[in-house]
Amino acid sequence: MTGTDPAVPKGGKRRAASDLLRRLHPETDSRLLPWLFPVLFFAVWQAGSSAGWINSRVLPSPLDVFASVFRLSESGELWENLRISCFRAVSGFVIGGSLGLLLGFATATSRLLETLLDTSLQMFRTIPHLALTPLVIIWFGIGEQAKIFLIVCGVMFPIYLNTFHGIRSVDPRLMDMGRVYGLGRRELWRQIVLPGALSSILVGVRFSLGVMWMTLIVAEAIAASSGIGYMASNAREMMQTDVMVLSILLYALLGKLADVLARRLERRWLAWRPEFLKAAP
Amino acid sequence: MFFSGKTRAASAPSHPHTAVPTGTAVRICGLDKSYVGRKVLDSLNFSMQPGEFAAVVGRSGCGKSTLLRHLVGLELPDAGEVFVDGQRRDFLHSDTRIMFQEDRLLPWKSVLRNVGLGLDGEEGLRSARAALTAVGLADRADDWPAVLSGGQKQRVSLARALAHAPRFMLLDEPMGALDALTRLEMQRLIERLWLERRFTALLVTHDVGEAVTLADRIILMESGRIARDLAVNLPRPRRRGEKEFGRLEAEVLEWIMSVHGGFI
Repeated sequence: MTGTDPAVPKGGKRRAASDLLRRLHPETDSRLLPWLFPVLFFAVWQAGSSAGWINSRVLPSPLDVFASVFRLSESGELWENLRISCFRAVSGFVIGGSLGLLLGFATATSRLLETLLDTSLQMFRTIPHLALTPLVIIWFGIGEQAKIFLIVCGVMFPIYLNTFHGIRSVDPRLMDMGRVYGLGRRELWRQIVLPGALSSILVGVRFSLGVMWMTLIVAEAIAASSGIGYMASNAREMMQTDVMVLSILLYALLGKLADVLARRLERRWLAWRPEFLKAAP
Repeated sequence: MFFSGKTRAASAPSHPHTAVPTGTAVRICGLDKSYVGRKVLDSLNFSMQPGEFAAVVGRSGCGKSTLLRHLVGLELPDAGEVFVDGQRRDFLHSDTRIMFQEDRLLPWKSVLRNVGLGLDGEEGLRSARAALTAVGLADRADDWPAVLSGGQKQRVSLARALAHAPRFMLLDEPMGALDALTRLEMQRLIERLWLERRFTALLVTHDVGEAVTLADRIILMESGRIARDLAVNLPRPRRRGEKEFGRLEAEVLEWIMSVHGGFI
């Protein structure tokens, strides 16, 4: 046939490539594939350390780091620090997230509150919240409040901004439709505004999860007597590079875990979005 | 009241299936509306018999859609009144439903939940399911709107309107965005459902052929007022290509094109 659509052979080629991959590795699973590079990374790192190319005083081998996990968990130090860090992260996120959400709802629905609050919030937002650290230490000492306060400041604004934006960008034509079909204020809110704003709110949640860990690392390294960040800065003073590397890896793992949870929520709550719809079998 | 024994006025021809009209009587008196100094509705008057199907045609910007927004209660007029069944209407009412040009389905609700919007409980779901069956989409009840075609989405939005058993149905160019074949199907579907249920229907359209196919009356609007009111006395179902159909279509088209303000 003449004049075939150029898109057809292209798509065919792409399919052929993934078929080839599958044939080479029949057990290859899309769930395992993302871990290929992390595993490769550790393998090269270990090989470099074993061969003596990497000075273990500068960078310990993965096996050394792994050994430190056992050492620290036997003394209970690791779990205690992990627990306290997670506690700070979660409570800061819950408080800051709720504040951001409520402020977003309030300013998006009331012109008065928007005029009243938005300028102040926007000004406050531009301050890097970590710049408050010295003041916060004076206010709260190095107790729990200091860390939680900093996380609250960091987490609040991404969620506030995205909630505000999400609600404001709900299609007014859908609102008209809802009114015509007899929905009252509460039902409009529940059935149209909230679901319409949800994807934007979740973008804010994912962004603020990143801010949450970052804030925690800094806050714990500067002003803490427990937690993973403290463990790392303490290890620096004793030149325990394995513990320092371990702390970094733990942050990476926790960050990934939080992101996976957020993605799960997206998949569950935004199942209607075309990108999450599976083609009918 | 308006929907007494006298079946259908002279403007409406007798149909093979004459059902008792359940539609509302509508009267519009001196409706005025301006937006930023521009008059969109200019002391507009007209009335509809219960169960009548009228079509409003006119150039874009002649105030057709604004008229519908007033009738459904989304806008308040600057002056003038709308009476439905003799009662003054300036609010949203459950006997009036509108179908928009876009489907306006909620993407986060299944097809069935969309149709059941604004209806409560088991009873509501039952009428939603019945409406979905009436438009031939009962098997798509659990799908997301995103997987439907444009024509199917518009049928779902028709079902959503029908589920409320409206007595006054406003159709704001609901077929404007559909391809020619789907549009013909949709016209037949709307005509069939109207013949079965006998609601009062007011269709805004750009498509003169569509107006001639469906309406008992064609109302020509020009800069916020009604310029002409034509009765269509053709037997249903009407077919394009019939002589009288063609003559009427040409007449209406000619009239619209002759209104001042053409580009050429």
